[in-house]
Order: sequence, then C-alpha cells, then structure tokens
Amino acid sequence: MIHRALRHPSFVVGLAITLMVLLIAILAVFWTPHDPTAIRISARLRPPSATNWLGTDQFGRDVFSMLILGARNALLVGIVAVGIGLSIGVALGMVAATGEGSLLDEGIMRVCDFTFAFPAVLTAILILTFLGPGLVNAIIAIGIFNIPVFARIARGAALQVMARDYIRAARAAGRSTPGILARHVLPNITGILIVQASVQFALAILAEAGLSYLGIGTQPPNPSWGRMLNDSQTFLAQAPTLALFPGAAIALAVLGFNMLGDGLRDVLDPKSLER
Amino acid sequence: MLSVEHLRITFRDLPILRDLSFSIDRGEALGLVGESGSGKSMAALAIMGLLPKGMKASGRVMFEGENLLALDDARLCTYRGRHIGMIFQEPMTALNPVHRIGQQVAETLVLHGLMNQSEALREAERLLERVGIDEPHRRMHSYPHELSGGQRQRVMIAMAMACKPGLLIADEPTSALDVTVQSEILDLLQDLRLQEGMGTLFISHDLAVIAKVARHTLVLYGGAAMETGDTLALLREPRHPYTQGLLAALPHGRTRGTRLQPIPGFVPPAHQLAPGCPFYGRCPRGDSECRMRPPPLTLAHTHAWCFHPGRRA
Repeated sequence: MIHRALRHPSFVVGLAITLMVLLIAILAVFWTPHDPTAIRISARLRPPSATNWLGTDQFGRDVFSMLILGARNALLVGIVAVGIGLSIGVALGMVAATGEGSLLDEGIMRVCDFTFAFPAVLTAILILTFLGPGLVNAIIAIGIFNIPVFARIARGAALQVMARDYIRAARAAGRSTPGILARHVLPNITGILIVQASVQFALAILAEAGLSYLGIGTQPPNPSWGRMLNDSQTFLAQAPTLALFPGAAIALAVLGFNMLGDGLRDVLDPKSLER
Repeated sequence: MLSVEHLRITFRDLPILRDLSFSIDRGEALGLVGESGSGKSMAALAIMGLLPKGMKASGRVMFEGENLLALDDARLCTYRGRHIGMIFQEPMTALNPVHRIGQQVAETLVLHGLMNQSEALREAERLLERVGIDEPHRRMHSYPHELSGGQRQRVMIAMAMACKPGLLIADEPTSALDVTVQSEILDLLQDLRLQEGMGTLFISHDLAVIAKVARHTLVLYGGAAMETGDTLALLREPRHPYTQGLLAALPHGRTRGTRLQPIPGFVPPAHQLAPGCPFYGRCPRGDSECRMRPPPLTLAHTHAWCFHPGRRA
C-alpha cells in the first residue's frame, strides 16, 4: 500500500504541501523571524527584503511572521473543527445506522438534511452572531457544520459494513451491538472517514479564512490569513504583494489537503483507480 | 440438550417455517436438508435469536432447560458463542478483514470472560493447531486475505469452537469450498464433535455431505418438515415423494447409463404455497387432500409427513 501511495502523484504532492504547512505551523509556535504584532509605523508597506522576507503591512508588521502564525491558526481550526465533526458526527451516524429506519435514525438524518439546506458559511455566520466573534467560536461554528457531513458518511458506510458476513459472525459469537460498532464497524469505515476528514480540513481552513475576512473569525492582533486578505484590499495599488501572499497561502493549504484526500481515496480504495 | 418444539417463523403473516420440531443430544449430529428457501437457515438463525428484522419466531427452543425464544438480547449474548457456536457458508467474507487471525480467535474467549488477553492468544494458537492450520504461530499474525478459503473455514471453526460450546450450528460450512477441501473440513468437524462431545446441527442442501456427518436427518421443503429418520434408512428407502425425488436427482455409483430424474417445476414463492403440503403441485402423488390439509406424520423406518408415503411408484 505504501508503494502504491508513493507512486500516486496527487498523494505525494498533497502530502508534501500538507507536511510543509504543518511544519511551518509547528515552527510558528516556537519561533517567528519578527514579533508578528510589533507595530513599526516607520517601516510600513515595505516590499520584500532581506530583513522582512515578504515585506511589511500598513502597520509595519512583518508579513512572513504573520503568515506562519496564520498557518498555525488555520491548522488549529482544521484540527479542532474536524475533530468535533468527526467525533460527534461519526457517533450519531453509527447510532442512526444501528436503528436503521427507526424514529431516532429518521430524526438524526432529517436534522442533518436541515443543516445541509443552508450553505456552510451562512450557518457559521448565524452561529457566530449568537456566540459572538472570535477564533474559538469560529472553530465551534465550523465544527458544528462538520457534524452532519460525518454523520451522513458514517451512517452510509456503517450500513454497508453491517450487511457483511463477519458482522453476522460476530453476533453469533455473542457480541453486543455497541461491541460490534466499536470492534468491527468503526475499523472498517476509517478509510472513508480519513478521506472525508482531509477534504473537510481544507473546507475548514477556507471557512475560517472566509469568516476572518468578514471580521467575525480570528480577532486582532492574532493574525489570520483571511483578515490579512481583507486588510490588504485598501492597499492593493500600493502593495499588491500584501494580498498575494495570504491568498497564495490559503490556496496552497486548501489545494494540499484536497490533493491529499484525493490521493488517500485512491490509495485506500484501489477500486476507484480502475473505474 | 437442544430441543426445538413447534418452531414457526413468519414474515408479515407469511409462513417461512411452518411447524418444526427436532432435538439434538450431546455428541449427536442432526442433518437439516433442503433447497434454498426451504427455511433451513432461518431455523438456525431463530435458534441463535438472530432472525432478520420483521421475522417472528414462535414455539419453543429449549437449550439446557432454557427457552431461548423467551430471552432478551442481552441474555442471548451470553449464549451465543459461549454455549452455541455457529459457522457460516462464506469463509471468504465471514472474517473481519482488518483484524489479525489470532486476535479474532482469541476475541471470543476474552468476550465471554473465560480468559485474559494473553491466555486467550495462547489458547488461540492451540486452537489453530487443533483445526489443522499449518505453522499456527506464524498464522496468528496473518490477515484473512492471506489465507485460502479452506484455511479461513478452519479459522471460523476455531472461533466457533473456542469456548467449547455444547452445540455447534454449521450452516452450509462446505458449500463454498472445492471438493477435496470439503471432505477435509467434514472430517475435521466430525473429529471435533466426537472429541469435544458437541451436539451439531448440520445444515446443507447436499445429501452426500449430510450422509457423511449426520446420523439423523430431517428433510425440509417449503418451510415444512417432509421426512426424518436415520440417515442411512432415509437414503436407502425414502418414504416421502420429495425425498425420493431428491435422491433420484442425485448422481451416484449406480446411475451410470441412466438419466438423472429432475423434480418437475420450481420451488414456488412462499405466498403461493398450498395450505396443505407445500410439495403439492410438484408431487407425483398429490391429490386434493394434500392441497387442503397439512399431512399427518406417518411412522415407519423413517417418519414422513405425507398422506401417501411409501415406496417409489
């Protein structure tokens, strides 16, 4: 499987980009070239140079430092929001699957349909107007709209697995329904969940950037790619690179996770290659 | 040990199994023979309390003095795997692809609280050796896809046997295997039954397989019992027209040069069966009485549920 993975171009490129973003984000926890919040009006809107690798913004803050700290925030949103969606969504989905056709199943799935009816970012904005703006609340909002995605996928995949003979055999061996879910169903649907998680991760990063762009995500002085993009608009004529870098960062991260998800799907399920 | 009394299974008022009674003692084997749709697998699932949704069982399934049909699922879980083991037809799909063989065999022992993890793994290795897996120590770490069909069925048997159940239900355990492997597995099951003193309910569509493993046989058709008795007597001198038809359709040593006789027609769907004998319509001796009333049990060297039992006309 590792061999197949390493020969899959989209997997390799996706993994490389993802690892790079991850390493940069980890690096940002310990070290940034400059203090990303230090304001130096004298050095505002500088082009890229040896001291400020990607230049400075309208307050003279180092763009590179802000960018890598933004990577940290973006990944934090991705990890926690997808984590929320994954844990609650998968649990709901598997519970729904065991009671297929029951009132509980119908209830869970109709609530999921209901949330699907609204665009994700609109839902997040709605949630944030209740919770108030901020990084933590943005994470919660993005996490909430991840729940139905995973609930649906987990339910479908679990139903498929539960029709298999080894589930019947496990029942005949005396396993209870919760035992079967944990021991036999979950391990057999992790592949699908991992693939979806990497796609959702990309969407979460995009959503956080969008919310921050609107000013209800990450709050200043904590840097965020979305808000950097928003701030740069005013100075588009004077300092076009100011918009370029955070935009490229968002595009690269999203592309990386999407390619990784694509690659993982092919690697974990070789049948999709033959199609 | 196991006594099934007037077991009926219905699916939305449609009879799947009409009225089935049989018993199995410790160390004894009963063969349940029938075509697809005869209700034989459903009978097995009813004993395990694992009928598909929508199917209802009535009657009694007495196992060591307890009526299994009256137990709730939590209580049944303490019987399944522990006191009643079951093996299935499809060894290729009946093992979980993501867990190692050894772990899957050991799991049942831990589940029923008989052993801790490390004891269970040691016991699993012993069991694998017992069911004839080569290099059990190495195989413990294999995944199901690395094993052949015959080996997987051996692993299934090891899993079903792990807790030394009093009763083993084997639902077409050899139908998916090729003939040489089939006879090895039958020998193994026979061997285990005699050594461990398990009762065995052996389900098959294949009379030749049943003849090899079961002292007594019960023939099912359309959800109703047709004929039961000593396997040899039943094969030599069947009294029920259905059993006779079944045997005439089988190739054996003496049929060289003669044509095999198929039973005319097809198994009708459950809702088209006559209220009387389900074999009515395909039976050469069937008359209006057969159609209307369930046939009585006629006793002789084999017992047949038939209005017109006897030698082949």
